[in-house]
Amino acid sequence: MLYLDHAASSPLLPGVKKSMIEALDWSGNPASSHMLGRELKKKIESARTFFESQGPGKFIFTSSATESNNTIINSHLLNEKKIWLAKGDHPSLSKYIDHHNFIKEIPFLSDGRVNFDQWMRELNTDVGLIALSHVDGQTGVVTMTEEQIHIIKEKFPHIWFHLDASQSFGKGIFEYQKFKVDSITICSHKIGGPIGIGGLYYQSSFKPLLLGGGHEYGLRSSTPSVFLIEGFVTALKEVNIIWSSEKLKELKELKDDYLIFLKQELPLSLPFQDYSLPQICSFFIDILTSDIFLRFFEEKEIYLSSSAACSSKNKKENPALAQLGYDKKKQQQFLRMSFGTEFDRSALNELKLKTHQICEEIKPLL
Amino acid sequence: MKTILINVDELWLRGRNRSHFFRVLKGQLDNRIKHFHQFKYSLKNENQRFVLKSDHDFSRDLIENIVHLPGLNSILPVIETTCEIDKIKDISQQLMGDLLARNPSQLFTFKVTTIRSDKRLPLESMQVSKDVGGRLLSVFDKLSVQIKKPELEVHIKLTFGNKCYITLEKLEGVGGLPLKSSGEGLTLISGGFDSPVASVMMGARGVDQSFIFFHAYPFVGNEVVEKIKKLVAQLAKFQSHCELMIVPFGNIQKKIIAHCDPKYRTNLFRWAMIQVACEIARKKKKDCLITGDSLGQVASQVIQTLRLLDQSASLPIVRPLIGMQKKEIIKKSHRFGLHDISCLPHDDACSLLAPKSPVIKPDFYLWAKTVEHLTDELKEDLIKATSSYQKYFFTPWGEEVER
Ligand SMILES: Cc1ncc(COP(=O)(O)O)c(C=O)c1O
Repeated sequence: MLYLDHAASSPLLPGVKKSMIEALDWSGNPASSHMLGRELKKKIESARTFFESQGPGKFIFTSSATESNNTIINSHLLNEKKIWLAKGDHPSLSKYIDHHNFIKEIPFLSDGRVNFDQWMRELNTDVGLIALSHVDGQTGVVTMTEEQIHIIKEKFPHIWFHLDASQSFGKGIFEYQKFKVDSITICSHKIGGPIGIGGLYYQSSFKPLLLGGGHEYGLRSSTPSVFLIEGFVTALKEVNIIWSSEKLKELKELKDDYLIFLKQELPLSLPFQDYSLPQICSFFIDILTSDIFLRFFEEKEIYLSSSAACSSKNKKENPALAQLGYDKKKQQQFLRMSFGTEFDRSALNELKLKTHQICEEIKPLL
Repeated sequence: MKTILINVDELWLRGRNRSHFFRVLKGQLDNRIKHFHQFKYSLKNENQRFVLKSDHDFSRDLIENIVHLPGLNSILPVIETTCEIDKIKDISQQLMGDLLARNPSQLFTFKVTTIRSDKRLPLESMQVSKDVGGRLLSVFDKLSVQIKKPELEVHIKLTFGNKCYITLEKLEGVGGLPLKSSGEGLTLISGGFDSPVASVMMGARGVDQSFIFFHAYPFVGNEVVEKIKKLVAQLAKFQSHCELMIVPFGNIQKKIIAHCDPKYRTNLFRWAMIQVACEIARKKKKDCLITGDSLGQVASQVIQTLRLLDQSASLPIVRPLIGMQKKEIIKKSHRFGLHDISCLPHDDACSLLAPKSPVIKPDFYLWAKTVEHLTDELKEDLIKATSSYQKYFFTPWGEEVER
């Protein structure tokens, strides 16, 4: 079995599972003033301290990346200033396009990056919020460089810049401590932590989405789930070690190696190859709908994605690819493989072997 | 509606077997009535027709379901009274009044049709029609008489025992013969228009059926199974309890693609389906296969190919649509409530799997050689396919059930 869909969700890392099972035995409410409560509170705060060392500003736990994104956008909706979003971004950001009268759409290049020059000409001071995925969940492309982000922040210091780092946080690529942005969304289950928890870095306070007991500095009420927090922090500590610069270099080589191999088997378009994370390998197969490949791989117990997990079932427009200018036919030829820490040379060889078998089965039809 | 008349269709043609099949049909009716009507009822044979009665109203769902049962000519939810002209006029007026109240501000054409089965009765059918028509015209100003194709028709039946049945509603059945009166079949179903229509047509010729679908995974995704289940849920209303078998077909297709001349590919797929279907049908003691072939509609439906397929089959292949035009098939598909389901989009590997230039007139010598070769090559896959299918079961009211 080869699981190549880590961008959708990454399986629990072994240490994570262990830490969570242990934490399930910790009873009490972290808000209680007796000893049990205080112990839990200590665990949470120690996890928070670790998270705060990994990103800019303060940090709160949320239930998901979706919630983190929603929280920030919601807090800007009453403000009658323009909000810049990407039409093809993850729905937890892009759905707001229909919910606010002052939405502007960020322009893109066909290689998956933001069309920075064009955008800079359009961007002006009448803006309250920019919210954008740092790495697109489907193409795996880094949409903006750190430098570009800082140029915007310098020119328009009053704009709240929100970065969704669900796909890139904890992947060993970016030092988010150094990012001069106003808030960052992070996601636990994309790095081998549990599903059901996310996080939010922020520089200054905002209007909370959930009101209640005043947990998480009053910004996100709900009794915190200690065992999810424990799983999340353990995952981050593990991936920080595993995603070393050597491992990333190896992965980049494996990915390029695979694409060279695949290009000999099938005609491909590779607009995203140079701009994507080493962990994500996305491409178009020029002659066939990729759903067929998805199933041929599935039959050989290799699991990958023909577009994002939430949209691959419907055959409608894929907004992420439409935003880059690809028509419906092209969108249906899109395939994404996303690798976890376990992907290595021997996994690559297995992938190549199975890919070759599949191509042999399909070739007589072309 | 506490009385429903259910007229049988062709059963009266079946001389000496008639009473046997009448009992069979009654059993099938009882089965459906029991499902929809939880109160006491009686279902009696009255002059070669069924009279269904209960102290409680029968539901719309029941009436609309019975319409699908093969062998029935028409279903009439009626009011029963005695053969007295004043009562007949009053009831007709009341029925018409109710209907008009449900459709306010609409004008209707109508006529009255009276049939007198018991010629000893003093009332004359022409006179009854005239009297009732006169009454309705004098009471309701939204009505006008039209003899040819009126929008509304008052049916009055004067029959034995001084009984009179009155209704404005006559639902047409699918007609034909009761299920099982012509044996059992295995229907090869696809997601298109043709095979489902073929199934209903043979159902109405009295063939009780199971269904088989050849699933081209991984060429085609699993979503197609949901569509096939929806189709069979509708087809099941024309059947007694029925079974759907989903046979994995991708591996067989892969081998045919790898080993055979692409010109013959589609025909060989069909050949393999017939082999598997015949074997399953034999195990299940079916009498025939049923397909939706219409002559010449696509290259693999030319007569030469059908001949080759028939020669390779151990059971007769029944093709009720063989001489039908596509638009007739579509019309029937609407009538049987299948059209919209057949229209649901499903991903279909046809464009990928179909050869660029399919053979029009197969070469018999080449075919025989290919088939011989394939029989060896595919032996194990074919045997596996006859036993490794998924099964689903459906009730005559179109519900999927565990069995
Ligand atoms: C860029 C991005 N943002 C947000 C999310 C949402 O994550 P969740 O569904 O866990 O809230 C995803 C997950 O697909 C993502 O890729």
